[in-house]
Amino acid sequence: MNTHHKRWPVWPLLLAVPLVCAGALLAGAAGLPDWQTPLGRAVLELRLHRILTGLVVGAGLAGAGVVMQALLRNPLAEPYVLGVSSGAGLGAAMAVFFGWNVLHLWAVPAAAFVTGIVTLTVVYFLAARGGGASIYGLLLSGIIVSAVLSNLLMLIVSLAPAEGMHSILWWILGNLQLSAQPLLMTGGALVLGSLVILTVLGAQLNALTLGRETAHHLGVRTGLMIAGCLALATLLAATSVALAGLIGFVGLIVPHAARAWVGPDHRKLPAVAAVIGGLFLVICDTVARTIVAPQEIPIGVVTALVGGPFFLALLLRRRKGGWIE
Amino acid sequence: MRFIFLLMSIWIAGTVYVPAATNDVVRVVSLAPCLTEIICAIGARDCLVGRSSACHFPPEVVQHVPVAGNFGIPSLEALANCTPNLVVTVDLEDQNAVQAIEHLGIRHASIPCRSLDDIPRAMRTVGQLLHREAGAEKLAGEFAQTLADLRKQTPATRRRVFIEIWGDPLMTAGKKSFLNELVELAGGTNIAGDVARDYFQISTETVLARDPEVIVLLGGTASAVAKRTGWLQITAVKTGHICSGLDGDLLEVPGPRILEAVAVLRQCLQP
Repeated sequence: MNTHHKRWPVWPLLLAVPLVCAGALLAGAAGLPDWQTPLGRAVLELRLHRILTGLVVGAGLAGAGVVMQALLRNPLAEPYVLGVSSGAGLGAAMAVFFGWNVLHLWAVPAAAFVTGIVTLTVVYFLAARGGGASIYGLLLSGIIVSAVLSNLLMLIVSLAPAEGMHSILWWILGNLQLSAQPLLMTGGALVLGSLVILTVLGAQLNALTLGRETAHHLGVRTGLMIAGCLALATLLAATSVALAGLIGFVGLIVPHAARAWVGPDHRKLPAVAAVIGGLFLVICDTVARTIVAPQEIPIGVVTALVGGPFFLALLLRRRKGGWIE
Repeated sequence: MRFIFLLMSIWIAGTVYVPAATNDVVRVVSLAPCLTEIICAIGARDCLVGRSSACHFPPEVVQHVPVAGNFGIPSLEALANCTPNLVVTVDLEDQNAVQAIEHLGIRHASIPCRSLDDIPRAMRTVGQLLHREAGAEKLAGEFAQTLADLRKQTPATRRRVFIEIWGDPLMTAGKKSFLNELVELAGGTNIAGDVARDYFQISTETVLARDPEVIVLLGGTASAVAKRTGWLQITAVKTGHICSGLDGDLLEVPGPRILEAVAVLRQCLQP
C-alpha cells in the first residue's frame, strides 16, 4: 500500500454539504424567491426536492462505482458497466412506448428499476454458469447483454412517435426533476441502507481488492461477498437510475476523487464517495438549471463537461502511483 | 407524428431556393403538412402526387395521396414511385437528401413557414412553382389582410399564458415561434416570450415564478398538470384555466388555417 499518499480529513466535506445545499437553494432561474408568498415557497420546495434528489442519486451512483471498481479491480469500472443502464433504459423506454407512463406516475421509475435489476441478475448467472462468477466472465457477459439491450432500446426509439422519442432521449440524458416525493423517500432509504451495509463490509471489500485468492486466504467467503456486493451495487445504481435517468460520469470519477481524498480503505470509501457524489451532482444540477435560465440543459451534459477535465487532472496528478496503491 | 413539425421548425433554414419554372405539368410531393395544406388551398390539389406521413389535412384529399416519407425525411424509393418532378419541403432533416432527390432528376424547393408572415410568402412561392399564381395571390392576400386586421385589435389587458408543448421534458414555445405570435394575437402574453428561441425546455421554477393565468396544453391532461410538485400554486391551475384537448392539426401546422387558431386561443383566454 502507498502509505505516503497525502490524505485529507473528512470534516471539510461534511461542512461543504450544508453550504453547497444553501447555495443551490438560493440560486435558480426565478432568482431569490419570496418566502412570504405560496408561489415563492413552491419554488423553494422545487429546488429543495432537486437538491435532495441530487444528494440521493449522487450518493447512489458514487457508492455503486466504488463497489464496481473494487469488485472488478478495474479503475474504469462504473455502475453501468455490467448493463444496469441499458437494462433500465430499455425498461423506461418500454414504459414510455407502451404508454404506461400516462397511467401511473411510478411506471417509468418502476420499470427502470426492475429491468435494471433483472439485467444484472441475468449477467451474473450467465457469468456464473458452472461455478462462481469470474471478473472476466462478468465483464464479458455484461458487455454482451448491454449491447443487445441498447440496440433494443434503439429499436424502440426508432419506432416511437416524436413525443415518446423525445421523452426517452431526455430520460437517457438524466433529469433530477422527474421523481415524485414518496419515490424520493423510498429511494433515499434504499441508498442509505445499502451504503451502511457496504461500510460494514468494508474490511472484506479491502481484502477482495487484493485479489480473490488472497481474499479467500484472508478468510473472506469470496463467492458470497462478490454476489452480495454486486447486489448492493445494483440496488444503488438501479435506484439512482429510477430516480433521475441515466446520469453518466458520477459513478466513474467520484470513486477516484474519494480515493484521492481518504485513501483506498473501503471502510470509509462508500460514505466519503457518497458525500462527494451528492455534492458533485447538486453543483452540476445548479449549473444545469441556472447557466442558460430560464432554459434548462440536461444534467448529464454538465456532469460530463465538468467531470471530464476533472478526471483528466486527477489522472495526470496520480500517474506515478498505481490505482490500487 | 403531428408533433414532428415542431421539432422540425428548429432546423428551418432561412433561404428559399426556387428552381427555374417550366411549363410542364407539375407533379409535386410535399413533405410538410403546412405546404400540403397550402397546395390544396390554392386549388392545386390535382398536382399533389405524394405527401409526408405527417400531412393529415385536408383529409378528403390526403387519404388518396400516397405517402412519400416522413416530415422532412423523404423515403427515396417511395418518392421515386410517385414520379414527381418537384419536391417541396420546409426543410430536410438530412441536407444530403437534396443531392439524392436531385440525382433522381427531381427539382427540390425549400420553402420556410416559420412565422405567420412567412405563410403568405410561402403561398405565393408555391403558386409560382405550381403555376397557380392567381389562386395563390388571392389566398395570400386574404391571409395577409386577416393577419393585419388581427394585429390591429389590441386588448385592454393581456393575460399571462404558458404554452406547454410537452410535459416531459417541459417544452414551451419562445419568441421565435408562431405559437408566440398566435398567443399575442389572441390577447395574451407568452410567459416564455422573452426567450429568443423557437422551442426549448423551460425550467419548472420559471413557470412557477412567472405564474401564468392560462395554460395551453398541446399534449397531456389538465389533471396530470395539477399533480406536479408546486403547480397547485399557479393561478391557472387554481382557477382551472387549463386548455387541453385542442386540435393539434390546427394549432401546430403553420398553414392557411392557422389564423383560425386565434379564435380557439381566445376561447382559452376568456376569464
